[in-house]
Amino acid sequence: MNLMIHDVNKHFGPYHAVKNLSLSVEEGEAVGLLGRNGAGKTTTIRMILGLLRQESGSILWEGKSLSRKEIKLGYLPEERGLYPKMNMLDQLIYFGQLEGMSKRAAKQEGLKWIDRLGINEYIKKDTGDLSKGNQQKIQLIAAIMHDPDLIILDEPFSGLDPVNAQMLEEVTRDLIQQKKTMIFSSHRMESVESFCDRVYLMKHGEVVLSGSLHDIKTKYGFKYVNIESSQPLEESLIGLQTDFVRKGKEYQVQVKTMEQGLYLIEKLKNIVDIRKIGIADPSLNQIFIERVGD
Amino acid sequence: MRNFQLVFKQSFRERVTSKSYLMTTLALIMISIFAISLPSILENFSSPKEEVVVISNATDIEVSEVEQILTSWQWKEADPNQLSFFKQVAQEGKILGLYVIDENESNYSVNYYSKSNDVNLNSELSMYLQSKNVQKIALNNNLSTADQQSLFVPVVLEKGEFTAKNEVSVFVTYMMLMFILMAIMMYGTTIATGVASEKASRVMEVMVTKVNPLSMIFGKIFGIALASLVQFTAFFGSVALYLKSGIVEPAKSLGNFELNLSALTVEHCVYFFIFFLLGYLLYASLYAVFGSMVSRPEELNGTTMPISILLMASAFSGILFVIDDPTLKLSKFLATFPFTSPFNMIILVMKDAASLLEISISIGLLVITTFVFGYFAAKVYPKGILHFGENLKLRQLIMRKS
Repeated sequence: MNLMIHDVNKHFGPYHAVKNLSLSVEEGEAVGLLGRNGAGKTTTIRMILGLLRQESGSILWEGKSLSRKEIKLGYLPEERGLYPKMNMLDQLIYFGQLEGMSKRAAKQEGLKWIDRLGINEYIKKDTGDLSKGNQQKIQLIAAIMHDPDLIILDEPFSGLDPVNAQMLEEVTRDLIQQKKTMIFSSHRMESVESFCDRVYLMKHGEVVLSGSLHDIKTKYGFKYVNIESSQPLEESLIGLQTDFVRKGKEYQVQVKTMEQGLYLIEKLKNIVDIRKIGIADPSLNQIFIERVGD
Repeated sequence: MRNFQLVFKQSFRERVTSKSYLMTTLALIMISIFAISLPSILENFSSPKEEVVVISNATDIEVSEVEQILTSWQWKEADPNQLSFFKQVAQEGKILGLYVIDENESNYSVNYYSKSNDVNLNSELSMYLQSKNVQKIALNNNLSTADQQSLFVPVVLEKGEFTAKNEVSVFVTYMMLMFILMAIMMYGTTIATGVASEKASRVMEVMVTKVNPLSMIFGKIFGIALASLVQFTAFFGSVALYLKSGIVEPAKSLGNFELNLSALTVEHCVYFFIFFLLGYLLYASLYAVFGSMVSRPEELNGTTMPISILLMASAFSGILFVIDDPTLKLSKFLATFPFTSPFNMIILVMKDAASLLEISISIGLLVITTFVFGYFAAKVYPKGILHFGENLKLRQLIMRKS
């Protein structure tokens, strides 16, 4: 079960929100959709959900035009929203029924997830009285309780404390193991890196970078030498004509190849006291800032 | 259809379990029962009749007869030798007045002693004595009893009717019109607030992926319509039960307005129900669209102002023109034009001034317009609910691509 978007365009008045977008997601694959605010991610997601109509191009599910009637979709929107005066379980039953579940099945599934996410004690509480993290858990349950074929999670980690984020990561991993087709839209690059096989980086409505994370990092053309020392390194690094940034105690030097990195380490070893040193691929965050930052 | 039912049930349940709904229903029932009972209550609490003492020196004036005719006061007869005593009592204000009635050649004369000088009492007593004098003259001139009675038959002064006689009182018609206006405004605002709240709480983002806009908008409209009908039934049912219980004598009128419900037929009630429901559905679609144009419920007042103006203008056109003369061409037009017809055709129906054909045309046009606007609402609604940030204008909403 795969999703295929081919050459899709969308305008809002004179503004070209999505330009010739093509992307694909295979069954059991999680794909990251990245970009700054206004890059066209939400418009793309809304077109997949059928809430907006593309002007050209096609959105296919298993080779056929995607129809909401024929596919079960799970969507966690970026902006969280629940009925504040409805209790948690009633809300989940309502959402489950709207997705075609029987009342009994919706209740059963809702209770199962409530138990798994550790929010049993709030079961009869109005959702408006719950913490943001717990509200987010309810929304996640609402997005996945009906066993959807395609799951779209828009900023799933925003507002979660580390414990809840960890819990959500476990759930997401399970879904990937269950061969769900998933699209992840997030600004938390470490999460995207840990879940997604491939990413699409959007800027001003078009994909500026795409592919597997390994390929992107390899093709990126830079590596970083990370150095920690007991003494200031600015003078030495300027002397070695390197391009560096200081992040707290750590200095980060950009090099083009592994050899250049090793050469730099060799040189530094002789002139400064080094506590910690290593060569690393660029993180997705670094690539993101590099490619979509102004 | 299943999702329509779910949204319908949810909207109904949400509405009928809300505190504001329960309080409004209770308040409506209490206020109506209070209004109906008010005249009886006032009667029980009204002050006792004031005492008037009469010394009659006229042979044909009996205090017992005065008492029967001038019932607003308590009458007491006294002897002429008690004059100074009762003058003193009147001066102390313990009685309303002392009235001494004498008889002369042409008429009666009255000397009275009163601190408060009750104009009503003076006027009515004077009229009574005048009529007694006419009666006496007639008798002295040997007029027959029939002729004597004819002297006192009042002139008949009656307002002519433009329409057939089988009409409901103006006050009841007015109340029905006000009920339709208030109900449409109240439930319409509930719909607009519901849509705006769902947008503000962003639950709309989830809902649009689960339910199609048509089911969402009409599930909401019909759910709230059912809640309004339940409220409607609870209100009328409670009032009817109260009236039937005989706990109090229902008022025949409120002030100068006749409150007689006897002319109200089942047919009237059915038409009232039809025009209320169709009017509600037409305006509810507009309220839903306008609700989708704002981002927060607090911004609704300004945005829904055009609907409020249209509603008020439609209802007040009925009060200003149609109630006065339902036969005017303007009245017929207002009763046929879809936005004004729910308020104005009901007046024509209550005044028995519309033919079955005219009523059918009015209902037909209202049904067609409701469908057209319902379709329009379902088309533009998704564009509105997915727009966040600055409020949309209606033109922007219509022109906006989906």
